[in-house]
Amino acid sequence: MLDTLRKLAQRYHVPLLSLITDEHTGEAGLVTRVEAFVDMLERKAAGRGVKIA
Amino acid sequence: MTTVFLGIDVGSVTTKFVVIDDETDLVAHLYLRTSGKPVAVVQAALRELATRLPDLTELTGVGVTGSARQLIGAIVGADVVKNEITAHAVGAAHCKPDVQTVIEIGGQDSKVIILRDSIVTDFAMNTVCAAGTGSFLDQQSFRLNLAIEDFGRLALNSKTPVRIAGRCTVFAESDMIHKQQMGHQVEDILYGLCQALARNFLNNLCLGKELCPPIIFQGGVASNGGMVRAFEELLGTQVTVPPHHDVIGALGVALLARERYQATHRASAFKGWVVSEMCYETTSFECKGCSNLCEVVCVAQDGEIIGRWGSRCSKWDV
Repeated sequence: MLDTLRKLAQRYHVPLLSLITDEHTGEAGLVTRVEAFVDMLERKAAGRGVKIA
Repeated sequence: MTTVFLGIDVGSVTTKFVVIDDETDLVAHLYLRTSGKPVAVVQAALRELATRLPDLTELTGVGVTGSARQLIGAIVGADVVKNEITAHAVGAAHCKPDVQTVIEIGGQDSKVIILRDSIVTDFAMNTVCAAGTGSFLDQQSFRLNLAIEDFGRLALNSKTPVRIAGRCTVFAESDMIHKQQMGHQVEDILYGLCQALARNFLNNLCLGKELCPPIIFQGGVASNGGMVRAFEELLGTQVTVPPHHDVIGALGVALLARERYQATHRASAFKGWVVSEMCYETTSFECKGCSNLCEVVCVAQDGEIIGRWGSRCSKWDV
């Protein structure tokens, strides 16, 4: 499933973030990944002169 | 009056500080062990930095990153609180603008960041296990009674490295002990471990990613020459360790603080160097409001609450 998604994302240049969770009680890792993903989209858009509200 | 920007990277094992000026030149940097006390280490470092900076320097922006970024951000009065991935990417792209791949291994996590034209296009961070990060190398050198600083130098002397399973730290350690009891040389075991960790990193984290050169290797583990060589051998290409490779995250977040100032020209929220003299106390409790039973943390400065977080809903947030 993930492989197919990865291939599709690559083909159509769609940003993709996969999150894997385990028994950790901390959510820090998840928060970091989601934050970084949002930053990536924002900085990408800013690089093209597009502003995300 | 010179304006400077401070970046703080509060990691699990070490805490890094970088001061840059308006031209992004490095003015001062510090690398300290967190030793389980993030607040105390930040206070000590601020005391030290205040004496190092020339008179008439104005701190115009503060950025904080790392796993204790929320706590330290509240304490120092940060303008920018950013995740480590963005901070490291910004720092790396500043050091080497044409970088396409960043390998970063710290105390508790490892990440790979793919950039094209200085913009992050993809990244991954270790998910289920901390196998292959700095604290494991630290533990193993302690077990072998070696200073972590000598680890890389010794590993580079290896002629016939042993094969160690790097998938899991528990198995890696028992593999290492087995090889040691069979009579293998310490340097061969050390370099075997480097190879195992590099292999694990490339096989798991970098799965499905195109690692194009130039490749930068940063974070505390990049000080280990054995790890650098293991990556170069496996990737078949040159891996560069940039100067100040151990403080790139702090540099990145200092650059972000500068970026914020240039975009807004708003004054910094920095509470001043007095932060190092204040008394901070953290308390926590379990919220019984619903079945989530969130662990809420409360930070007080001289008895006054300056931050509270940890709940899933915003009930307790300050």
